[in-house]
Amino acid sequence: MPAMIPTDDLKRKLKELLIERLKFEDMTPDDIGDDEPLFAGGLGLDSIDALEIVVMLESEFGIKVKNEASARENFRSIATLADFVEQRTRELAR
Amino acid sequence: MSWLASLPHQIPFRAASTGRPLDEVSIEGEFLWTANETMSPQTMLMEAMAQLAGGLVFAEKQQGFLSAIDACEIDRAVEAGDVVRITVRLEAALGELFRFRASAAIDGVEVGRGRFVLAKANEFRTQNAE
Repeated sequence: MPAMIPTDDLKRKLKELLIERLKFEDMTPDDIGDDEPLFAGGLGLDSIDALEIVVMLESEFGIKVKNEASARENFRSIATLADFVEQRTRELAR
Repeated sequence: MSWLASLPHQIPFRAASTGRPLDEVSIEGEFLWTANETMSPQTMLMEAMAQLAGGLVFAEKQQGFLSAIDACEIDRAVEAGDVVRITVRLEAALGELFRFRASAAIDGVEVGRGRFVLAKANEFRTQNAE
């Protein structure tokens, strides 16, 4: 079971994972703002990328995304994604 | 009607020859290549993987389409007479999108792999429908 990671470290890890998994060449974690929208108007991710995030959350953190509504709410930015991972990690630890 | 017969693909585009769901998230099947085929066996092997994936998640008469292919590799040429055993596993589902990881083997040796995304189609609209 994943241990709790300090929020800033978690945000950086999520940025690194996104860059690696979505093959964002020439991009660094510093290029992604914590509150920058991940999808339309921001980083420009699409629905296929959202599936990659679903797979990433399960393989890296053991977190399952139950439905599309949850993804819409929690995949808005790195900050909301980090909140989601922290919340679900706490739930898994109980 | 079997899931294979319910596919919209007709020969020669029906690439998967058999399909058996193993559980809710995986299916196995076969791709047979003969000397009579005229298309690229590598391309048709990928198509067979995608068709099996569709057989796993789409019910009869439900329409879907292949929307992404990623990280596909074929290690050796598929030759006439080869029977390729394919296993496909559902990795993730989100809304009407489904992502799969597929693997192909000949005589027990893995010869190919890839990731696929299928999308469920609610309805098809033509340009003049409205």
